[in-house]
Amino acid sequence: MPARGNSNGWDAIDPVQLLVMANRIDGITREMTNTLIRTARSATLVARDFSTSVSDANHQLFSAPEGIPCHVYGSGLLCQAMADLHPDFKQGDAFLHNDPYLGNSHPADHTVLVPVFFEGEHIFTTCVKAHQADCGNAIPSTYTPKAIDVYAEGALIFPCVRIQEHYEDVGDIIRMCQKRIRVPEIWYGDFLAMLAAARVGEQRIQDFCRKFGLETVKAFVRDWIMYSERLAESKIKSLPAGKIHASTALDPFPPNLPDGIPLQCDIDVDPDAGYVTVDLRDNPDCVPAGVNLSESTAINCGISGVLIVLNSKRDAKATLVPNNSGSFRRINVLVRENCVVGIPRHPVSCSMATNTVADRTLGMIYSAFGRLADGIGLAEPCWGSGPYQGVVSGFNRKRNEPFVLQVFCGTAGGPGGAESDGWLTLLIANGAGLAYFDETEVIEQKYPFLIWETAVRPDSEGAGRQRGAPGNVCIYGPLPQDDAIEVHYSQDGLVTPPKGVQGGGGAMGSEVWLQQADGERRYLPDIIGEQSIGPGERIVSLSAGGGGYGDPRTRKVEAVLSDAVDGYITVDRARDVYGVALTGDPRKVETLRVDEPATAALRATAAPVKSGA
Amino acid sequence: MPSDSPRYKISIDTGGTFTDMVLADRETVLGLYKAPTTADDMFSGILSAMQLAAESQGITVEDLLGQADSFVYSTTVSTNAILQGKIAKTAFFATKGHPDSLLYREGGKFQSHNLAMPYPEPYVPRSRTFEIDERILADGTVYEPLKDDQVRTQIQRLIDMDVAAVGVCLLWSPVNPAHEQRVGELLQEMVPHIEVTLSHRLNPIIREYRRASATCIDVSIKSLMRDHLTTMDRRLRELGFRGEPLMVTHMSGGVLNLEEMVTRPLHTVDSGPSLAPVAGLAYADAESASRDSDLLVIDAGGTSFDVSLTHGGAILYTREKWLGGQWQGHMTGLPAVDTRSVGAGGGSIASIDAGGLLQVGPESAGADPGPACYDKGGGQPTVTDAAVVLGHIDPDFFLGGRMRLVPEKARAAIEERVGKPLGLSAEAAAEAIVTVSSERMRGFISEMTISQGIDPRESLMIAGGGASGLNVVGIARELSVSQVLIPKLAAGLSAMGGQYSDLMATFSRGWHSTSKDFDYDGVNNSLAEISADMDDFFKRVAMEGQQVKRFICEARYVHQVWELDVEIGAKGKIDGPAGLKALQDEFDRVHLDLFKVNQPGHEVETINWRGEARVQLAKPALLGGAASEGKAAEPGERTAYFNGKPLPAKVYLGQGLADGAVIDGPAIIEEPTTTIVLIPGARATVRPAHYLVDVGAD
Repeated sequence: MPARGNSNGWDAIDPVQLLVMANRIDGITREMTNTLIRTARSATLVARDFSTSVSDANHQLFSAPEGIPCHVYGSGLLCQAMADLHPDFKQGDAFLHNDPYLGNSHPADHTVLVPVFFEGEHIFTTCVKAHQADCGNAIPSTYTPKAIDVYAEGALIFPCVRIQEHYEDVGDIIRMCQKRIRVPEIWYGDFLAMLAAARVGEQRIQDFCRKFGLETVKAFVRDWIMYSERLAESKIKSLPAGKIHASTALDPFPPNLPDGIPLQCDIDVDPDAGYVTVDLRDNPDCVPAGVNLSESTAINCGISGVLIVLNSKRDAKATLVPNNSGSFRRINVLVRENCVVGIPRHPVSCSMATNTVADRTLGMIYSAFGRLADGIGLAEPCWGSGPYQGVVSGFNRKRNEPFVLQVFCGTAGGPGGAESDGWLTLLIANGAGLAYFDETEVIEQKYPFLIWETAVRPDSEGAGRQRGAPGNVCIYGPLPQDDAIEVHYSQDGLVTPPKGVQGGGGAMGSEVWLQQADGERRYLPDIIGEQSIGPGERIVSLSAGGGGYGDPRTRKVEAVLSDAVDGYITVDRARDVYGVALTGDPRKVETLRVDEPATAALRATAAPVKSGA
Repeated sequence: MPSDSPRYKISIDTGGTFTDMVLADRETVLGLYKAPTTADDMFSGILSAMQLAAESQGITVEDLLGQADSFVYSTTVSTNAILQGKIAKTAFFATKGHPDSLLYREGGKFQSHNLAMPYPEPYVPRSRTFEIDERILADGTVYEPLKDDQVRTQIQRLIDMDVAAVGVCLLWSPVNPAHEQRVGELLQEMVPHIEVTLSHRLNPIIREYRRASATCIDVSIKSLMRDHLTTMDRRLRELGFRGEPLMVTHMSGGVLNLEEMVTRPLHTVDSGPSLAPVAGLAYADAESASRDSDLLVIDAGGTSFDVSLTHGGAILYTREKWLGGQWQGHMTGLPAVDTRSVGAGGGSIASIDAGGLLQVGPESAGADPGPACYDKGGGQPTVTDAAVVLGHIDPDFFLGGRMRLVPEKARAAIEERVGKPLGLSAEAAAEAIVTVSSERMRGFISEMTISQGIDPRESLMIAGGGASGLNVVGIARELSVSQVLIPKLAAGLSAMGGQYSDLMATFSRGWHSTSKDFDYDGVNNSLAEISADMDDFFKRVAMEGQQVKRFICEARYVHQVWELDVEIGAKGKIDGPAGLKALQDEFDRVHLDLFKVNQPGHEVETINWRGEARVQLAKPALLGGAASEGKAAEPGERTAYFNGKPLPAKVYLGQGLADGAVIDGPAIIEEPTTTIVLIPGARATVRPAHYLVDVGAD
């Protein structure tokens, strides 16, 4: 090892060892992920709606290399709750925590916490969070937008309860879950997988401490946090200075939110000092609906909104700012009590705290940077969680048992950004594109309904120099001879669809139709859908695209041509919106060619495109 | 030609930089010969390697080939064509409503805070994807019949677009292939010149993305590989080769004869790395105490670091083989040797990031301009430069002395770009570079062993590749691996594997059932079909050797989504409840083995069934004899840095070392194609064909 002491001001630990140790802790977190993914039971969890992380002895997030941002930001709050409620926490304990008033994201995300001790000292806490197939809600869905409070929501809330002591189960808690969760066998299988993952992390961390020694590990924790902070600082210093006010609005839905929810934020970028402040306090009080954010998901919107701006790089080799409490120190997120994007007061419902308002807020923040200056930030992403990611329930006659699962058989479009077109399978802003996509045959071999279609929705993208990704068309339902199924979903963006920035266009919003057994399609206007799909009927879900970035008439002509050839956009849209005239037979896309003079003329005289504003 | 003249077996592995050839006679391996790969005409690199081999035997290439019974060929032509997009103009026929499976893949993404990663293109563009009006259900029922007219209309589009190949993958074809078969007939009738692959024939597994991806990749390289392989065979025969059919290696670690391989060229993809564990098993077999160990096989070159594993004497497979990276590339969807590769090696560049930390790679200086010490204009410090500064590489004996390095350039680059910013001496900075690079490799190995349930502490590491000897002992120590086996011919591990592979083919059927309500007839019917496929295969290839059948079930606990491989023996039948119980017990055991937890007796779902047909081929002994004669030459000595200290290290020429000789670190062993650095505490024992290194402790 090189000598101690160097020009970077570290004296406890040399930078090489720092990197080696950080690599190992991230490896441990990934091993936890691997354990979980391979042994999990529910399709929801297997679709990767889960995260693993490690927090330090001060209850600060330390490592979360592949975690979903809205899951892992709150790890520190969860661990703090463990220390506050159980000051006697000890080796061999495990805690079940899903309480949104005590730091958890939302009740459907069950979290297992295992405090890790070495030489009698608490040194880290492993944290495994997974969205459950069911969490005991009043309706067969893990999302209850219309719940006026937590009682109507119905979820079992576990305010960081001890579920293992001396490495033995506390059976009472497990039996409660088995009595109040619709798919007890799946829940228990997933619980075992989560526990196994947290315990694997515990063992590995103890090996890690044995190898490096307790004092070195403590020094490493401090230095790694400092390193992360320095990286965040250096990237913030490259942003332009400015104050941005941004606003958006959640679509109204009766009876809970007849006026929707107006949302806003004030962002102050101070590159000289190396800080960004996101003020979310000037927002409405908590609402009588299941859409209130929890403290962790509200703050995460500010943190992740800024980290996405800092880390969105086309160059795959760029150094990324780590997602831990060191980088968080450079991002001040201001929230207040009793605010829909702040700290909820029991008993308001936070059933949907990881989407809906959270997606609006996250998208509002990163697109605010897109409005600050050309060259940074992104446009607005897809809004809503339509039937393509609905919670589907019914009875499986073949297996003679009820079923409930969240499908991921479609997707929705990511925003165009300063450097790239939108990510096609973003699905949902807070999911960050990490989710898996269900293969049709995997669904159909297990459940009594068919996926009739899942394909790109042409012309739904926000046009731009870098365009948003198009949405998706997803159609499913039971066969005429099978039983009805029920789907729960929540749309958003029918009233205010995703907008573009820097002259980029808005995207198409979400739409849902019911195709009756006779083939007729009926429009379903509900923002919040609780829809039965009868035998022979099909639900038709059109998802939103992402907003565009920059004037579409400056998009490279060959990129417009190739979008038309590949059917992402029509020839009409190429002409009307992108100012590119194409000749040839649109039904034979190989014949399409750019009409250069006509294109030049169109682009010279073009009026600016609608941003959707 | 005298009747007692030797009969040769030749194996060739064409890599990105070198073409490796291993020559054996009926008894033993004779040597490894390396020549630069010639990308524009692979044959000329192969010819150069054969010339070196022929010279070593004192004969001509024509004599060498004339006396060869068997020629095993491993090629990167298909992999390169796919990664570079140099494939046939390909179309995709999909079930109506499902045109985008190649685009959406199975979802997934790295870097949760990076929304600027470009979304990867589908393997076949949307413009050449055509929907077929038809629908079959999960149980094989036809819900919407195929309409010939509509298919003909879509085939007409292939003609309009002048495509050369079409992959057909319709939903549920593994359960009921009737629609795919009819589409195949119509294609044959209307466009016999267009290459066709039907998904149920190539890879009849359930999961339409994987099946479609396999199908489209296969058909896109069909004519390329047919031309390439038949030309290779013809040119070898023109030079006098009269042996058995050309044997081509595949991604399952076996070989297939030319006639078989041209019908399913997808199997040639990434086949070189899949041979490394085959060689690994052969070496482990020579070390009697290690015969039952699990193996960590690494193969380290200048730009990439490959890892594969064995467990209980069997090579570990995966169904999730990606070309071009997980989620970003394309899945081959066939059971393949699980080889994983990370861009790390001698060329990896060291730099200081914005937070002040030393990073090594992923950027590489490659071979041109290469490391700073090559003195070809590359001023960036690399891992090779660090090894030069530390005295681990002799600048006058790099690649056996074929390339002279400039140590001053290495030192200057490291001082300037790493030493000064970190306040470290050149040697300390160099050691930091090696440490960080080794850490990446260690982490990579560790994650792979975790995902396959292998415990490194109970494993033997086999270190192949020209660059592995530089830091493998330290990596092993960090992984708590106690012994490393380094072949003397480490630089040609895959070519060596070609000498030890069997003729092998895999056949699958998708048939879903569960232990709660087991469909004995459906499953046994699938197994009988697989068995018949294997019998046909044995008949077609008509090769001498023991024929072995192995049956595998891909199963999971009910509600899980990922399957495990469960061996169900050579009989290929689930014999009533007792047979089902045996399957469940074995599944429980495998689950426990891999994940450390299981739920004995819990309901098990079966997804795919698979048969592996193998003809065991004759294999030579590993290289022995020649090197062990004579006395050990007196070692030289030079100063090398270990743990921040300059130490006098003995330097041995490998060819002068006697069998059984023991060498203690710090020491350096120089073989013509590799350098082995023994750190303090490590001890190497010389064996006929390899070194066995006891890793020891600091």
